[in-house]
Amino acid sequence: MPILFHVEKEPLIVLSDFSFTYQNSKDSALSNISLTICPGEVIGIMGAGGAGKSTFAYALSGLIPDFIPGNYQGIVRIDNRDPMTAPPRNVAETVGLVFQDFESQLFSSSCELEIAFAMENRGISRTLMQEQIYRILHQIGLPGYEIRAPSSLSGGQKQRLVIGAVLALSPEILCLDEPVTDLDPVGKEEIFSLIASIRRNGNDHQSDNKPVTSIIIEHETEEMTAVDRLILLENGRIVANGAVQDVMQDISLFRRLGIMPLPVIEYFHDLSLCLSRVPLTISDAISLYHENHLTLDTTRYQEIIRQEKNRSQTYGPEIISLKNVHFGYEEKPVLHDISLTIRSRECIALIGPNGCGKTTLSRQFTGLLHPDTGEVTIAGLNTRSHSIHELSRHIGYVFQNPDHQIFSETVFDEVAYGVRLHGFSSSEVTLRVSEALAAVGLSGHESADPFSLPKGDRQRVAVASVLALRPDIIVMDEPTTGLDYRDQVRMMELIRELNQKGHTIIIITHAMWVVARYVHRVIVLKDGQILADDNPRSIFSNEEILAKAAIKPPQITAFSSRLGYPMLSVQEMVSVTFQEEGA
Amino acid sequence: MSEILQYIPGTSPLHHLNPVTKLLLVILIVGLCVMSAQVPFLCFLIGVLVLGALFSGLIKEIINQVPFLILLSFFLVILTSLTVQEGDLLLTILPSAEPGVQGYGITLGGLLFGVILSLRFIVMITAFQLFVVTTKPSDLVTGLLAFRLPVDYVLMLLIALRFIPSLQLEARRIHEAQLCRGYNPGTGISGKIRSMKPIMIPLVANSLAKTQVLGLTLDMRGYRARKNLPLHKLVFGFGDVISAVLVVIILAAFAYLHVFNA
Repeated sequence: MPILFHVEKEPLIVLSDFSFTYQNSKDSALSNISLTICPGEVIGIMGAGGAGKSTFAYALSGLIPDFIPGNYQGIVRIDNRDPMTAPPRNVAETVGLVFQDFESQLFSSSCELEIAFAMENRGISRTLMQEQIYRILHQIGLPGYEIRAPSSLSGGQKQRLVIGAVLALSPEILCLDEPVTDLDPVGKEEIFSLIASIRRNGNDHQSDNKPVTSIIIEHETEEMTAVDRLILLENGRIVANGAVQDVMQDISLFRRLGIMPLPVIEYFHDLSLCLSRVPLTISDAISLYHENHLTLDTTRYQEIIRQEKNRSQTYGPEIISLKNVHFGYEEKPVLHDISLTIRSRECIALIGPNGCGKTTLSRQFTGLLHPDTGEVTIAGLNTRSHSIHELSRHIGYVFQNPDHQIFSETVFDEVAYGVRLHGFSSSEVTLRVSEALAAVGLSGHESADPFSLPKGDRQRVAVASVLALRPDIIVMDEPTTGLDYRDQVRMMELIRELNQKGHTIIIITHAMWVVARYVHRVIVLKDGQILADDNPRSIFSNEEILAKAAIKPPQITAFSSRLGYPMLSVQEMVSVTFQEEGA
Repeated sequence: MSEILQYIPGTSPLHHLNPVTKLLLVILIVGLCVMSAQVPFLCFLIGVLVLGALFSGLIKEIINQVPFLILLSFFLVILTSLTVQEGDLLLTILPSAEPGVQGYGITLGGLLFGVILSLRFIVMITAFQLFVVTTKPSDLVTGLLAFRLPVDYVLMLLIALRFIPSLQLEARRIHEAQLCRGYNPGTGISGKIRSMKPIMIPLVANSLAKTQVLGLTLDMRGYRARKNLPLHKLVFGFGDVISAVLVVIILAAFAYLHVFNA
């Protein structure tokens, strides 16, 4: 069927009045979507959790309905073909799909076999396969990794291998569904530069050198500035579709949808300035700052610094103490001579690249691990002479994935589990559960099935189940990972509240905006040693530490640091900015 | 953490053998040990396997299994001693009321049967283990395909083996998460079974979520429209000839014990 659109290039993907409802679901996941995409375009998709981003990407890739069953209406054309009627093989050959969970996408015993799998299925000759494997391994930056086992790779390398395995079929469309969510900043950077190189060079090994059209779903607004076109979704409908600048300047829309606005745009928006152009980068922002004759009020800045200094007066006595802690797994040293004191009511972040010992250190606090030499004391108890069970009344640990602990049929039972194990009376159990659920904002959900709750709420159930033991200290591993921006903010507001109520908080995180906005003290780990231990403002303005630990400060902090006054949030920076007289 | 049933890279003779040869050897050894009820012959098979492991530097793997094998043998011997009543009575548990009729107790036949059963299990488990730890999963697939096993089942086995370490890791994380909530790995058999719930439910729920991604991934790499041509061809080498000789020796031993000694 001929396409009735007259654009400069023949469109690759056409959706017309497309709606889709999943099997066993009443509500439609996508409603009345109309859109055309040209070959070689890089499309970014953003939206809150449940907005239909993944479904939208699958529809664009032609995976509906053959791979993802459900009811659809409207028209889809990919490369002039109707994927609804085309056999599945055609779709698999034109579309490469990469998911967030790279572990489940690698099933081979070596890197070369992972890449070969798709070609084996297609019956490509051995010599051609060998050539392709060689070229793809170079393209994804893993040359010489042919016989390495995928399980021995780092997170970023694994996800690059997944992309390589998908490139083996020379897809015209590369669809990446939150490819970096589970990666540390170094891994994220690796993936984004790989995507950029695929975009620049096309799919290297493709003989006809067709451009690769990419569709990327991602939560981090700053990373999305590199796409050609940005689409925002709300409840399965397109609410914005256009060039990055045009879409991103609508700060109120971003706020309504619960997506993080780009900090530099938000800054000028909140100053209510009429701008000649929309800044995307820090250098754009700096020139606009000067063009508009803005300055930062030194007195107000000093006041902020002074308040920060006074905060330590609210801290209580020492609650965690580590003395010369050494620890290693089978000869391999992980923690090296760590000495550390944490006072009650502090709010701390442990940061550093993957493998630096953050998780191992946090497990020392809870008694899950004991030091090889040195002492760990929690609330006056030496972890070596007290069981995890005893320690769990003083220190609670919320793991990264709430699904690693939820097993009960109701929210009430889930939260009550730990309390019951400590032998409290049933009236005490009820009291503590309702107190904990109230603290996380889930009162009234006692009889709900925890598995049916959205991810953000499941995370809150996990927090409540730890809170119910009323621990003085709460350790949280990656509390914002896998949540959308709205839920990330809700989670961090909850953590701030708990801190204000008197809990000592320790979070492990890769999200630097979280560190800047919510945390009072940052411990930077590198190679099992403490590289720096200071407040976030000092850490984020210390170039040497940032470089050593591969930390990228939040955009607003990097922007304000260039002006000489590191700021931790857009609101803070707006509060000290004023326009010079006569400007 | 030790990983169970995972390929251990190496350059030993066993590693170099063609997977088809190895699979044939495993089938042969398992077949022989099922057919034979001779303790010396079963011990001979164990000796062959231990020698193979020694040659390949994998004796540690075998030794690690010893406590489990002893436990298994112990249960098997107890079970057969109490259920099989054959041969002379060694220990009377319930004396017979009728004179001249043997009472109920541990018999020589029962004990012997238990020993034979244990030896058979030791042979089978060790042979299978040596096969899996010395065969790259990809070669395993090629080997199984050579036996005309349907590709779906082969891939199923391969993926199952691949995800064992992931599941072990996941189970450990879940265990830690529950420990931090005051979880107590119960005591006694019923306590242990009941305390599995907080570990098993999250483990199963998470695995189910992963299978969905895995299934879609396989589909998207063209699995459904398969024209399978494996990347590596199997090559028969010197080791395979040696194995053939080994097979002949084992068969000769079997024949000697069963035919000439009968």
